[in-house]
Amino acid sequence: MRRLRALLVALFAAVVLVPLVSAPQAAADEVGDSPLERFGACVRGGGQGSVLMLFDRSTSVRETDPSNARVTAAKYLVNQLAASMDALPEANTDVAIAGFDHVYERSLDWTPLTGSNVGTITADLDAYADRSDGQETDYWNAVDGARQELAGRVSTGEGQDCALMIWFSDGEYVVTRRINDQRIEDWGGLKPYAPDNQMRTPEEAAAARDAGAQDLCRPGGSADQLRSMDIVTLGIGLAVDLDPATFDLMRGFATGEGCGDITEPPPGEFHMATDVDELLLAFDQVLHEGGDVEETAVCVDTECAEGTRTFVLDGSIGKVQGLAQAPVEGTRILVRTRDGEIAELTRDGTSATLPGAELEWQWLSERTLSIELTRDGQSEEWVGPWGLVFVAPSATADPAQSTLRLYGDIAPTWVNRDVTLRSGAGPAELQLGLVDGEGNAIDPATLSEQTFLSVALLGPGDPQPLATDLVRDDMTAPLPITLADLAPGPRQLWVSLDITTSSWGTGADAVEGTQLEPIRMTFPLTVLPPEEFPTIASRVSFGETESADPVTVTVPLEGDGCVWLGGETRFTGYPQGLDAATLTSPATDEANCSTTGLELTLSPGDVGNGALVGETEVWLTSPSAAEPIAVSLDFDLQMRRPASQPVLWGTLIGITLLGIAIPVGILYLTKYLTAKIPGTAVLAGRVTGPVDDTRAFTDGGINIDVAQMQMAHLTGNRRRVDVAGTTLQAKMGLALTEPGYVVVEQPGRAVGGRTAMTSKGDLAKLPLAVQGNWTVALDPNAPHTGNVVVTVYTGPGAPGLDELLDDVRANIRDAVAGLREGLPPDAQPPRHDPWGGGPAGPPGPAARDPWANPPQAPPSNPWSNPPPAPPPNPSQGPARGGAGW
Amino acid sequence: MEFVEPNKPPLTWLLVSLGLAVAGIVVALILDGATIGLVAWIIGVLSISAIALFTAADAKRQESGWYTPSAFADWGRRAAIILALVAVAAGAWLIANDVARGVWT
Repeated sequence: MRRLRALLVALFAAVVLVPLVSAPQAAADEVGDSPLERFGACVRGGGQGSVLMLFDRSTSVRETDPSNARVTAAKYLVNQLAASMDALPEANTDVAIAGFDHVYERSLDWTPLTGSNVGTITADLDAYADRSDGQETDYWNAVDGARQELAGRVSTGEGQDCALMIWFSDGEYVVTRRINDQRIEDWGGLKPYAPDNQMRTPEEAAAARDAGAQDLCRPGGSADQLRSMDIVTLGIGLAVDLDPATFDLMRGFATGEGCGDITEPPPGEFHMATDVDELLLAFDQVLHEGGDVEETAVCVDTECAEGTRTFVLDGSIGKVQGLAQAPVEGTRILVRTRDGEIAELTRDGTSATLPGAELEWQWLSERTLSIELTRDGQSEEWVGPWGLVFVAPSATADPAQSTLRLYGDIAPTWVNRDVTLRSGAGPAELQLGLVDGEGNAIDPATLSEQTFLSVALLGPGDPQPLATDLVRDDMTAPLPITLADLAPGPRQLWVSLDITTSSWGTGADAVEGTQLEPIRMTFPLTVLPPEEFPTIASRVSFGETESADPVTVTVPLEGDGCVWLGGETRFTGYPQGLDAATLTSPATDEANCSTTGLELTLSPGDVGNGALVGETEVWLTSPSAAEPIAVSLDFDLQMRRPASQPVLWGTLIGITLLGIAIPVGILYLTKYLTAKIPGTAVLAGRVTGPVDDTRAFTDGGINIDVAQMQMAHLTGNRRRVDVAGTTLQAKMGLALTEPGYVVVEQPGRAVGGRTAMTSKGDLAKLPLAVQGNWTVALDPNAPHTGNVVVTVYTGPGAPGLDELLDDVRANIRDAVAGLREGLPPDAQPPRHDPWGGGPAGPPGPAARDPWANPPQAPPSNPWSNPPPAPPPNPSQGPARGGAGW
Repeated sequence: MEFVEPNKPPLTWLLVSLGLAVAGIVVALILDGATIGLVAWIIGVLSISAIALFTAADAKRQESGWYTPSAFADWGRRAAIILALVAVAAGAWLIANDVARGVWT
């Protein structure tokens, strides 16, 4: 674990503002640093940082990390990084979060790492405490997902990109067997790296896992593809009583030990942690590039000198951050001010105001807390010795541990970044300077004499020192750089600032100044070809493809001259089986070179999953140059295997049908359930009489008495109701977008509704709520000349009956005319003229005026079942002897 | 004399359904991946479920016979169903596209 701490120290060091205690002075031989320092320096130098946090979601995490240390530590990391980003005006870092088990799944899209976004990011991290139900630990899918995620961040070719993947996992590469096709589909289909392996047996699953592991680490495999894009990997192995060998593959992937061809510069680091306290301490050091963790004895019951870690603050330091870890639970942690005042960092408190400083703290676990001490303005009570005191309830042999970082407010910068640097030209001058956290210039003369600046040029080959240990008076002097022998291409300017604060006190009580950690930054720069030569981009992306077809792009040429593809093309990363990819151009020599741009064709040769990345050499010449020059050109093509057509269409059809079937089923079910006649009862009244184009027996009014209407109670079957000689039949209907309806079974062709009359075949059609509607039916034996039957439906209390009858009077002639339209003439005329009274015949009901108000239906007991409708008798004809009943 | 307002279709459910359907389509069109597809698919299902609730509530309101039909409700219902089906289909496409590639994004 000590190794973990020491190694982790590197990374984000740069990300942070400043120095800290006991760090070595920068030297040229330190140029390059560790992978994590590389990332930090890149971010501090203005590069666009991208941090992908990748979490194992397999079920075993519940056992190996029951306290969710990974989440606690990741949140601490995010908080600390966000604070650092806010303090660095030129630093921009985005964070994305993803999980993996049998598949890779992003849970948080790229989010700027700022104080205001910390809540969003940590909320997503919190969710990983419960995300531990995955069945596999598929490293290949995890890495490939991360590669795709980060490829979009580093392939833009614009500016400097700094990418870091922080990978939490608790175990080895695990692929489990699939018991059937459904399980294969449920678990994301076949493995892209073993497309013919059904994984039906443990042996087949193991073979698939081996294929994935092999593809990760083969030359040009997933590991090399990430490294080709300069993506730094920080692997964190969550280990509780696990054999370190369990993590061999993960370790190799992160560090390059036995995995992949690209191992320089070191691609990443791997560390193991067994509990949250260790993880927090490790991350703290990762963040802040501290030295070893300092161990302090522990006092018992009351504060003591042996249990106090003393640190000295001076005027150049504005803030102290740190982590303190007690050896046993119940230990009290105190802060002693310069004046001897004691403040206890209680578990229920978070802040305190001390003489000369504001103190904030947070308990991260039962034994670990983070502290931040900020100077109160320019208070003199800040300057002097302070102490961190550990008081345990009982004696313990284990020491307390703590890290402390003393922050100044200063960083080096490259002032004249717009200077043009051309290969073969005369010496140029670089103007460096010092700035505070807000970008304001700082006069080096205000710093201690023990402040030094070192500068180097990074690029192909060994670092080229430009200046070593410049003293404060020389820091802002123009720094010459020789360009005569510098090849064209992208480079990085590496700057390191070493500060030792002024000593405090005099005589025997004097306290030596504190040597702070170097502040290292890298700035991107491009060495252009000689002035007479044209220029061409140093990096080109061929985009993304799913096919084996060649992809062609043209790299523009700026300036007078000519370009062609020459030299050797080297593929540093490629999907499995694509080791025969080629990069070609029609411009292959000076004779057929291009004056406008270099057309490049990248032929993958096959399909695959991964990145096809590499570098080649292009030649430039100009009319005034005797000899051409070579410049390097990096390229990449992101590849994705095309979708399996049978799986695609099978799944698409299946899920689409399911997706449509479920809601459609719900809809039909709802239609069926609601296809009932609503309400408590239906009241119906029926009148009959003649209707022609000009007159209707209803013109004079419809004499329907509510008391005489028949009633059907809706207590049982609401789908079929008999009332007033009609049968109301509720129908669901097949039309998906239409509600259910009711058809009225009665003799004769009929229509129904209200105002707008509709039918279903020869039957009247009503809405489900039949109350408030009416029907009219023709005489089945004499549809043209016979009487029509009008039935009105209403509910208890007959709401709106008058309006309904008005609707009948207003629309009956049109309704009847529509019904009669197209019908053949009546077979036999009526036996008497319904329009006249008839000269003969005995007086009686038949002699009544049919155009008068029709009589009502015979009274009946509305509370009894309605009498059945009289069966139609063709021989009788319509309403013989009178109208209505 | 007391005037009683006639019943009207429960447009709230209709608007909810339309909103969900549009949201599902927008999500499926703007974003990518099987997870998004699942979200769009579920939104589509919810949208159709809202239509079902609308239909049920609408039928209830017609009980009294004192009901004012609405052309907006008729066409809105048809539009919501079609849009919801589009959302479901778009979600299904995103899911199938990932499954066919052996990934889940």
